[in-house]
Amino acid sequence: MNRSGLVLRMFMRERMAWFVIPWLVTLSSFVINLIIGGSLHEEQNMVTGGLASFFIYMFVMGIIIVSQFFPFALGFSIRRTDFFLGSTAMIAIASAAASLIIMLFSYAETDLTDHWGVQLQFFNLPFVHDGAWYVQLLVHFVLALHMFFAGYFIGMFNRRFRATWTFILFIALSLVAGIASMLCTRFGWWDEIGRWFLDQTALSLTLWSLPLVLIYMLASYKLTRTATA
Amino acid sequence: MANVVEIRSLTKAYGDVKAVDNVSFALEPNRIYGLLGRNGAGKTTIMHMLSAQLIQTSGDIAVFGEAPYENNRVLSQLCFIKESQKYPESSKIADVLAFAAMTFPNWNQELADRLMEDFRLPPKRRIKKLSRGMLSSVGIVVGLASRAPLTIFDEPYIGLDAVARGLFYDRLLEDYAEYPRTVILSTHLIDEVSQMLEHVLVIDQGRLVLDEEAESLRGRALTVSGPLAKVNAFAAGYKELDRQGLGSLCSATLLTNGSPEDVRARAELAGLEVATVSLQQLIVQLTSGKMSRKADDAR
Amino acid sequence: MGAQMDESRPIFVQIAERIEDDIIEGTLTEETQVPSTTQFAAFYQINPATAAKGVNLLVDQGILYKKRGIGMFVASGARAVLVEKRKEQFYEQYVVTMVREAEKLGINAEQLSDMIRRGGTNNG
Repeated sequence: MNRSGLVLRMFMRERMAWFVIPWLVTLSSFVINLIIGGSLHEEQNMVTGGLASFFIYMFVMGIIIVSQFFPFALGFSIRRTDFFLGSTAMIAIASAAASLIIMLFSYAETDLTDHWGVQLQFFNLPFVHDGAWYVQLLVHFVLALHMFFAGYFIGMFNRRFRATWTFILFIALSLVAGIASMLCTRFGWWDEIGRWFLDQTALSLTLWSLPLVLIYMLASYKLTRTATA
Repeated sequence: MANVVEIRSLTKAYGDVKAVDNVSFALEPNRIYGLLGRNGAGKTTIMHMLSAQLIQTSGDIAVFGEAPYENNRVLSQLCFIKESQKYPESSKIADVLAFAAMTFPNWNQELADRLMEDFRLPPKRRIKKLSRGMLSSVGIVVGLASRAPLTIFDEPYIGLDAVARGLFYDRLLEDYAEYPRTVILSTHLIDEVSQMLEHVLVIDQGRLVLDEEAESLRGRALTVSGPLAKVNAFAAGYKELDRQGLGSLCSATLLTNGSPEDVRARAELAGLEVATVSLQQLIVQLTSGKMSRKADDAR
Repeated sequence: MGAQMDESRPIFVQIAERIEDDIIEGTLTEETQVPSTTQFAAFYQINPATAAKGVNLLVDQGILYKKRGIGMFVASGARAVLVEKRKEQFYEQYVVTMVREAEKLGINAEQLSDMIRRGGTNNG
């Protein structure tokens, strides 16, 4: 059997971790919002960012995959390439499932329950859900992928270069961000940047982020190929 | 049959420190090898490179005739059980075994089930709830039931008592007799395993210091003692492993060749006292002398 | 765990000696089957190849013979051959050494045989 497939099957044995726990986390955030919404009786819709907890979970999964499953698989005679491909397949399935689930809840929120009867916008967010249904699917799919590989990349970077270099990486990144924002202020670019973002739709932002996701993936693959147990 | 492992001038360096220094050896199929040496001698590093979990600084590795790095033909035939093996913490023992059953083509489930009972492993228990000894037992079950043509055990019994270790040796010999494979046992508990070994490789400070058949080593190592001049005259023809002096008296441990009885008789005839050296004493002497010398250097 | 072997002598020689002892003492009688290599390996916790080498040493000497597909058997007349061989070894190992030591101490042949007789009665 194809050994990338074995890695996928290894992950699939952890159904709870992929398909149940993230939704328990997200739904508990939802229930809290529901209670708050019920007690406030606002005129306007209450928009929350509780859905972000799912995407943060995906980020953490990226880190856990590398710290726990990579040394396990490598020790059980799995190639690095197969581990990467199996992980990619797994996250593709989990992301696809997630975007479907979010769409179903979003439909329930707007069309079935009239915002759960308490004016709560939890799954159907303005801006994100302005587009067609397939745009919504794509947006959540790419975002989940993005978060996972960001975590995977950081985890693998840490495995490859150890804590010191990971620390240096973060310092370097914040330095770059700091210098960039200083330059923006100095040359008065903020207005333009703000206007550019206002012009974007959820779809165009997603498309803009695609190259970034690809860079994460490529860098993750490169790091995986030379990582050690 | 072709060699299962061929290593040439293998070196792993971390900066200026050479963890493995220019090591070359070959392993023949279906034999039990002992990779022996003190803790930190470089044994684990060699095995990590053999299984492509670590990448060498220089030198060549061929396993089943091919480079092992990212090579499924090689890796699927190789099972490396190490003390430091990580398992996903939330996984159950059963999950780990199910994965092993998929990755090792020669996996035998009946044997795995029997070993699970032998070592009293609860399949539903999660990894994070296991004691050190149970964790070692999981590795032993995987290593034996994999029946991989090249099976490597690196200190697989940390946390196991003498009874459980004996069980491991029993099961290993039993299954090996029925399904021969190449086995590398790496350990510092030399006296426990030396009887099972066919061939011995001794590593000391990153270097290969001995590569010999175990049976030919038994009886070949002797300690002769007597007046310095007589010891020198007798020792001249042989490889000297260790020497200790006491005034004009001296004792030397030698690796002799030819019939042990003849060598012994000649030594006695030369007026020397002769003592036999067991395999484990021999290895201890091979690897401990340099340690004290190193300590002297450090001072 | 298995019975302890002397690690300063080749193990296959010791395996052969133990089988010889069993034949001389009558534990293994002629024309009966000898334990398999695997059984030896398991019992003494030694490498099966080493056990096989010990068994083969006795096959080469005609003490054991192989029945195809069944296993190893003790040859007829094996015990007599072994006893003869052991007597030879006994002479080499004990008598020659004893006589040499006796000469060193100035014990003459008559005194020596007296001592041997005394050793015999003390033991009986």
